[in-house]
Amino acid sequence: MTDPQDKMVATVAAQAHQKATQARFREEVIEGGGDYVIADAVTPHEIFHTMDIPVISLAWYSAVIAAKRLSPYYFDLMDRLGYHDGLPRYGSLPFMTTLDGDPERAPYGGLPRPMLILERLRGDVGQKIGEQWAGAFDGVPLVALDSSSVSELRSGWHKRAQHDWEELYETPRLDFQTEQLRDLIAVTETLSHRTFDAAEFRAVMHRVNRAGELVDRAKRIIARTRPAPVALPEQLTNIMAATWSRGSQWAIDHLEAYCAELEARAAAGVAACPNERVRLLWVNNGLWFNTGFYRAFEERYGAVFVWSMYSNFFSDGYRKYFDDGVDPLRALAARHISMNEQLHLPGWMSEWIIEQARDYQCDAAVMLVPVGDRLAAFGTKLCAMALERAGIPVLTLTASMVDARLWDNDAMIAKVGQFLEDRVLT
Amino acid sequence: MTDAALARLRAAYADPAAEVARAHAAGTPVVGYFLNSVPIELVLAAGMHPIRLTGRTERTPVRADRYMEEYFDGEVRAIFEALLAGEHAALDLLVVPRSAEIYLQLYYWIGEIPRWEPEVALPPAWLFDLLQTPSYTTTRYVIGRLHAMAERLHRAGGVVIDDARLAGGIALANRLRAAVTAASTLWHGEAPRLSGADALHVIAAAQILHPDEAIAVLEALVGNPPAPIQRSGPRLMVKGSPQHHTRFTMLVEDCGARVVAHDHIAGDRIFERPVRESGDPWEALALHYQREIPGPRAYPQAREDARFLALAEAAAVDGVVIIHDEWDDTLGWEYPDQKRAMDARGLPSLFLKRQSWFAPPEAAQRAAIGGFIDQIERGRA
Ligand code: SF4
Ligand code: SF4
Repeated sequence: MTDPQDKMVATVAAQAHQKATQARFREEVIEGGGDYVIADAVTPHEIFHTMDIPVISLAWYSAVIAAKRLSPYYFDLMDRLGYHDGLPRYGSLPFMTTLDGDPERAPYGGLPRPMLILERLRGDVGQKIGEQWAGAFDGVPLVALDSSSVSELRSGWHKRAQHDWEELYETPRLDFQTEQLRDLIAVTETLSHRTFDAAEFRAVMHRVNRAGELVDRAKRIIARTRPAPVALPEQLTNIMAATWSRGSQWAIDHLEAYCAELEARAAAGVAACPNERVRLLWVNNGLWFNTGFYRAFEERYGAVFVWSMYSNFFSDGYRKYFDDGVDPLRALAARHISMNEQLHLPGWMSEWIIEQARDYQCDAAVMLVPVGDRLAAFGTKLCAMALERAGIPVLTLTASMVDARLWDNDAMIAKVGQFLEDRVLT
Repeated sequence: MTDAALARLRAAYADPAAEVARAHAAGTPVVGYFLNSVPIELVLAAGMHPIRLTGRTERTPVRADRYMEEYFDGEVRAIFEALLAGEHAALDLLVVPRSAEIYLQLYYWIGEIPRWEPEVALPPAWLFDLLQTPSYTTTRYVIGRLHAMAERLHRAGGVVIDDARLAGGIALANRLRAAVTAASTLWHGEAPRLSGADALHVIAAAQILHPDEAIAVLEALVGNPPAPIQRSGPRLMVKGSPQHHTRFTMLVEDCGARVVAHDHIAGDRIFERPVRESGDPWEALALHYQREIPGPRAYPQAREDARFLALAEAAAVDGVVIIHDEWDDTLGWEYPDQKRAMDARGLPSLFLKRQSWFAPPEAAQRAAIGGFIDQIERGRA
């Protein structure tokens, strides 16, 4: 038995960066009254990064509310306001902090009035929540990026997405998305009295690609190194910090340091679990309120989660290379145009995950089927079938990913343990 | 003739496959489609017969459940089961609109079938990527999708569509809209002559029969209508998740109410607005489907709500029953606002949440509707 590894230096730095970002937000926006934007996770934050306008990501703020165990309070509020409990209410937690109007309770004192709210209309509810939220802020502008749909799921998206995106995502859709981005820039310029700087934007786009290359380098180190040099929760901390700050020089510097540290650990044999016997994939949404779960099978089974969708979606899904003559806005259009679809539509989801299983030398997969968010549950059956057909055993866990009260930790641990004994360690 | 007209409409509702066969026997290619958001004007202009398809409750999802999570709408699972059974294989084309996320998912699931069950006979499927954000940028995208659909119809056996043919398709569809609107007085009117269930038969049949025939039958029905139904009981609107089948409407009427208005995508409002007949027909058609049809993605909500309230007023309803499908993740966000608007008008409402599509809780529904009717009647006394 070895002692559990020390936290990586990079992880500490990523956490410090997140703290600093929050401090800046507090100072410039909450106290200073500066402009900022509330935006869906899968929207082009790059436009605001280019214009140096802070962005609060909906998914991030929802996760903070959940992590602070405030969701039950806001769910009760929704009951009282008449939003029935069959609605996928997690994503509207930030909206509820506005309706609640209690800065003492809401994380970071609640969100002040934004310059605009940006939604991408993938499911059918974005415009409904967005309109009401914009109204609750006294009528701030709601910009809804409509979500065109690909007519054919061409195979090998993860190989084609970086260079061959024009054909992959279909020209009329890219034309439309580029137009929508131009509209968004015009609105942002009008509201902020700033000008979109094309040269700076080009630099942002190149930096995102560079960061994506570094995430790919991290992937290769982790994938080939047995035992894995980093635990999944730390992978996620490092990658997510870079994702939210994508396009910044900080993200590049950070990822370089992260890769160097991974390499050093690999060379020195530092491991998340030195007795690693089995490598696992965590498929579908993360378990944000309980990342300790990912490590619960190391001691007894030597079973280590080495991959989740966030491990390298940045490198496979975000990188969009463009030639000198090409409008970088079109590359940005390509980045978000099919983002959730790549993670959730059966054909695209499974082909990517099967390849990750092979790259990361994984033996089996555990898949979370979220309750109360059907968009994220769709496709899990077909994905599980495809993985099994490819020889990868899958355990499906159906659970709420939001409400810690509904998570029966012992039962879930028992289920995974049984699965490992029955289907993996035989 | 009334009986014959009504019987024809009911028969078309009950057996759309027979209409597919009839059209084929007459040498007309048939395009099947889902929901209220596929431009039948294009299908008609291409010389083809459009038929709206719905899910049938007897299609218990057995094979479908291998692939589809239970969180899909019940009706979509029934449709997928029917597709796996080869039910729609005879269609020359199946058009799936992107006006509800769940049907978009269905489109991709259809694409998965050959991978798992290559022997299943399927019609060719095509996605009509309709977007409904209220912006000029979106209008231009939708115009592009209309041209792509015209081209796809041509490949499926339709004729090439020029402006004149499209204008003809629009004119014919508008005549159908006018005919359904005229017929709707038979259930909206002061002394209803058609039950709520028959209203749904009429609306559905108007999307199954070829418009030429549908218009003739509807005119015969209006020209010589059935006698007023001898019933009292409050006049209700059924609103919410799509009610292609008559089951729930019949239950409400069986509890003692009269269903005189239907606000869902198988209801009154789908024929409410004609397509503009002047100017460029492609622009007019794009604007219509982008902005003028009801559906879960249509917004601004205030505009949709104003149309709902206008229908409630036109049909002089005494109350509104909102039915919510078990896993529908969209319906309900607008309810607090609608509730306020209804309260302000003194219009009582009942919200039935999370109702199973395959196995609805009938006893509980009866109890709730009965209580609601009592509440309305007490309020009137
Ligand atoms: S099981 Fe793995 S993580 Fe746990 S003490 Fe042993 S080596 Fe360390
Ligand atoms: S994991 Fe899926 S559901 Fe969650 S934010 Fe990402 S794309 Fe959306």
